[in-house]
Amino acid sequence: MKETDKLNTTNRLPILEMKQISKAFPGVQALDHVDFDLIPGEVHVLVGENGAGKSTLMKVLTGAYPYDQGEIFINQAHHPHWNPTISRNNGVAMVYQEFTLLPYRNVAENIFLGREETRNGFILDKSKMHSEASQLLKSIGVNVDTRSLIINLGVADQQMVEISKALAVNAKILVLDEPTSALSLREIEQLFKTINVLKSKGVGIIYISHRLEEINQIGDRVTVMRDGKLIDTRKISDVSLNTIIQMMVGREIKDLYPRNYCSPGETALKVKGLSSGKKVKKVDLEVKFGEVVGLSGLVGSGRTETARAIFGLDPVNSGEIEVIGKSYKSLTPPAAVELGIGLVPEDRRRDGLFPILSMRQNLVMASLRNLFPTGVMSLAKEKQVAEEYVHKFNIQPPSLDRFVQFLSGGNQQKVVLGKWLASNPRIIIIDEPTRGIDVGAKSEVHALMDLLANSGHAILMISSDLPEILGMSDRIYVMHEGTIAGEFAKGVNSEEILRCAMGVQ
Amino acid sequence: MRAKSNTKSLKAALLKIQPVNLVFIVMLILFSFSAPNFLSMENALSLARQGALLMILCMGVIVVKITGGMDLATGAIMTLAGMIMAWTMVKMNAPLPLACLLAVLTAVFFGFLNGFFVSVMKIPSFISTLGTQGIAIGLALGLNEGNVIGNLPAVTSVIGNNDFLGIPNPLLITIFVIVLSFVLLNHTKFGMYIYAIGGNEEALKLAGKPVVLYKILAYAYSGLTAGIAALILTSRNMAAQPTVGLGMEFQAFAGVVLGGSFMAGRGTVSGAVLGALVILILRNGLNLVGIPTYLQLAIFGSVLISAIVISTLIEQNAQKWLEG
Amino acid sequence: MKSSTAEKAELKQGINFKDLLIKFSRAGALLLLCLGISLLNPNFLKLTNLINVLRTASPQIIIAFGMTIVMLTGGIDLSLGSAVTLTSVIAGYFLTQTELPWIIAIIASLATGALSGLIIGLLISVIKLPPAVASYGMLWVDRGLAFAIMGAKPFFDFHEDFRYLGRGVLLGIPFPIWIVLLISVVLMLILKFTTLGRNFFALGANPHAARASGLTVKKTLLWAFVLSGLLAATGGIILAARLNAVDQDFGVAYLLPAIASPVMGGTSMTGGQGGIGGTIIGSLIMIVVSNGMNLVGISSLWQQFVIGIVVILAVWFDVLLRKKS
Repeated sequence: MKETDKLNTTNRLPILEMKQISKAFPGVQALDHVDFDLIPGEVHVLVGENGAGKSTLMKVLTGAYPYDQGEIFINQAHHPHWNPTISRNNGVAMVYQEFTLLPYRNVAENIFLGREETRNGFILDKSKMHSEASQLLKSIGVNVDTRSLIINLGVADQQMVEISKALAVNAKILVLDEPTSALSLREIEQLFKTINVLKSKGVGIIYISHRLEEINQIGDRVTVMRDGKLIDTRKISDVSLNTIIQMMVGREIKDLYPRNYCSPGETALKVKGLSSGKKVKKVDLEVKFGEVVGLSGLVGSGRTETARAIFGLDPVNSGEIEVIGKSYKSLTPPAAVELGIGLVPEDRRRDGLFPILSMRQNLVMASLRNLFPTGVMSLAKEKQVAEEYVHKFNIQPPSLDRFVQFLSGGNQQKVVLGKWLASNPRIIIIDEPTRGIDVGAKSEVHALMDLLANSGHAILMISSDLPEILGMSDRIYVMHEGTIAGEFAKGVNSEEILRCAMGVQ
Repeated sequence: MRAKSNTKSLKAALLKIQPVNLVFIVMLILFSFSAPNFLSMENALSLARQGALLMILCMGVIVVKITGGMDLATGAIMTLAGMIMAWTMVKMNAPLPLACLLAVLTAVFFGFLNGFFVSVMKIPSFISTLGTQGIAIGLALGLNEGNVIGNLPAVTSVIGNNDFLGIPNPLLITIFVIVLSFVLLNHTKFGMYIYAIGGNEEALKLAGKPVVLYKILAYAYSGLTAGIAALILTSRNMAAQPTVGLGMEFQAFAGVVLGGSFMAGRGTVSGAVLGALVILILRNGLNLVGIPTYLQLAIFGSVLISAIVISTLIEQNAQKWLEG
Repeated sequence: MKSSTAEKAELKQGINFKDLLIKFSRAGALLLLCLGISLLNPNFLKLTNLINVLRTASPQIIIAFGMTIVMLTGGIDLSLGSAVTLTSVIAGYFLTQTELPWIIAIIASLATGALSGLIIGLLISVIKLPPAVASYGMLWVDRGLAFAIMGAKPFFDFHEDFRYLGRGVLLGIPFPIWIVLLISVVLMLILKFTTLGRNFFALGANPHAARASGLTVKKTLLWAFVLSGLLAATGGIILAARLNAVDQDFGVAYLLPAIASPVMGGTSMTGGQGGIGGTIIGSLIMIVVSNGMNLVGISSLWQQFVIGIVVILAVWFDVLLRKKS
């Protein structure tokens, strides 16, 4: 693929400067004194692992999140106040992965939403809007009929409409978040052509991507972030892909994980050729009793979707799921629970907890059929089971009637874990076991997983935390764009995993 | 290869046919066979005269439906507006134009009230409008202690019973409202924003427009149409009844949904007109065949539910069928 | 911002003091209302009046229970009023148009209510219609059918034993009130001590998590609407029994109070919170307001007006309350 025209970025004044930006959330420093700048006409690639801080930085830029410390300069002018409106007025526009388009309206209407042209202040001047929209699209090399409905357009064209929306309001700072994740090769070529046109118009583009092969082609400079910090900003021509990966991963962390490996038993869960929706293309994996199997990969590679497909939350297109020797085309959540599978979800708040119900109610929620097969409940038994897990997991504060929404993140995760363990599963799929919880709770969760593995359970652990994957897993699968790109034994290093996750040979 | 793509484009074309068009044709055929005078000119004219009310209400309800809401109060608002019109003429000797204005203003006020409850107080639309329905009916009943207000001055009859250049006034008014709704929805910013609220409210918010205001205006417009309908109704009856509009909101809802506006952000005036015609023809046909009013309502309900079920099933399975 | 000590105390209990206060204030409001009305018309607090009022309002309370269960799952059943009419018409039909024993009338009526609810439940769980739309459609189907069956000749003069359900007195308390008490106890037991009841709360509290936790969401939803249909039928039967006639659309006035009562009693429209006890208080408030208006001389015509306002206010408070948490 042809490379885009490179920009000589030395000695040019930046249109955007973010200086020493810091942002903290309860329990985690999402951004730590980050410097970032953008030069008009450049493509500045932003890379980092999941959780490195890329999207937080962009949310600060678009005004969606207020920042704690630091300063923002536009064209060397300091802007002490910053919010979505000010950001927009200063030429910042972001194209998200979920488009903000009206599906049943046409292209021109979407581009002009909120800024319609009228003939006499009242009646819409549709022909004018169509011709202007057409011109706009052509100017960036796109050939789409402005009368088409958005829903009838492919993703690539929809993306072009979003970009045109930004241009129509004179965006000078355009943020593209994983723009090529849903595009075909030909469509990517088209996108790059468009980006060239934008560059020539002096638009500065912040390009977030994990596709290293593209970074070389499209980028002028690259900034690597890790753990909320800026690692470095370099010219693409001055740096190798290997160096970039090393910067993303950092030194090997000597974290001690509480893991005592034992020899695995029989195959508990085996998945063959699983395909589900758009994100899971063909997955083969296997988890044995006594193992912790890590499932690594970048955001969007299909890990969570695989877990959901196995459990029956998403429909299965094809493939086979084998549970303790018995084969199934697909499961339903109640059937999965019956078979002894538990799924600790990625989205704790949406799929794991019942915030307005009490701790004891949450804890027994997956075990109702097990504990009370006749349908009649004994509150004493519920209390007994709940107390058992509150005690086991050291859930604080230990008051059973407390509404779960008032608990801290770590304790909430413990409640979700407790809920699933109370259902006596033999196979546990945990999606992001320690996301968003404090260090103390993290090690408690790890100790628990070790205990579970050693008492014969089979654990499939999905995680974006490389040290966690490396520290806890017997074996590691790496997913890339819907398939298993590699399988590693313990002892592999993070660079190898990241390369595999990014699709690099 | 070619055969396969031919069947695919045939299937795609078939999918484009709206259920309501099919129902329309089927019913025309059904009734022209079963009812003796269905296809006659007099029947058509009488349909046009009677159908004005429903058609006008549908023109208001479609606007609300596109934003994703339901307006269950529109029948009651029409009733109340009619009572106000009659009351001001009989008890306060108001001249006809003033009475009409007050009636319409009352209706618009209730529309604003609905909009306020839904948009500002964030009460779900079915509750908000059920509540205002109760309030409007209550007022309509209380106004004259549940009694009909008759003895309206003769001039009142002009609106509903006279012709203008050979065309019945109600028809003229109906056409006016249809055109008004059409222009508003398709050719003004207001219309664009109504569709935007239904299609992707966030997108409109991001574009910096006052979503709350436009939602309120949608309900206010529905109130306006109810007020206009009230004028025709009261004029034709030469009286105002506090119980007359009962059930009209359901027929309007059914007409709008049959016309293709089920999901938020979708629906057209022309579809709503067709849907209203379907209901009117159904009503007319059932009358001619001798089915009592009360059973008609059950039939409307069943038709409506079946239509929604079928079109939902079609949408859910369209992709598979297209490829299979 | 709350003071830190109050916050700490709250955290300790996991109970919002505000919620407790609101619970008590409901009962308090009820008491105040009763006192206020008795001042305006001392006949209110007479035992005969109270018992009479409760007996007349028994169907209303039972129907509110049905709405409560549906609201717990996060839904709404707009057809409840018409279901009352339809089921009482069915009872009347079997009682007067057939020679079958009156128990068949009751069974037919209950079956009709259950069927109506089942259809709504299926529309929601299989076709994925919004509850408001599905139940609104059935409102008219039920209503139309009721009128169609009733026809020009209303049904009246029912079997004596059947009428006992509405008019009988047991130990000084009218039968309808016994039925209400029995049903409240049964429903409270179901909600508190069965997995089905727990499923209702879970579904309303978080439908995603309910599904992801392996609960059978479809079945739960169907049960909720079938139950509400059965309860509507119970109300319809009692109504027919007490009035000894079915000659008009009785049910139409029941819908708004059936929405207001649970909401005022603490059952949230968003689901997952509330219960029978609260609905009893909410219903009593609605009933007392109605009766009070009667005693004070406000015509029944204006009462609809008042009820419309009450519903809006009640739901508004609920929306505000839920926004905070």
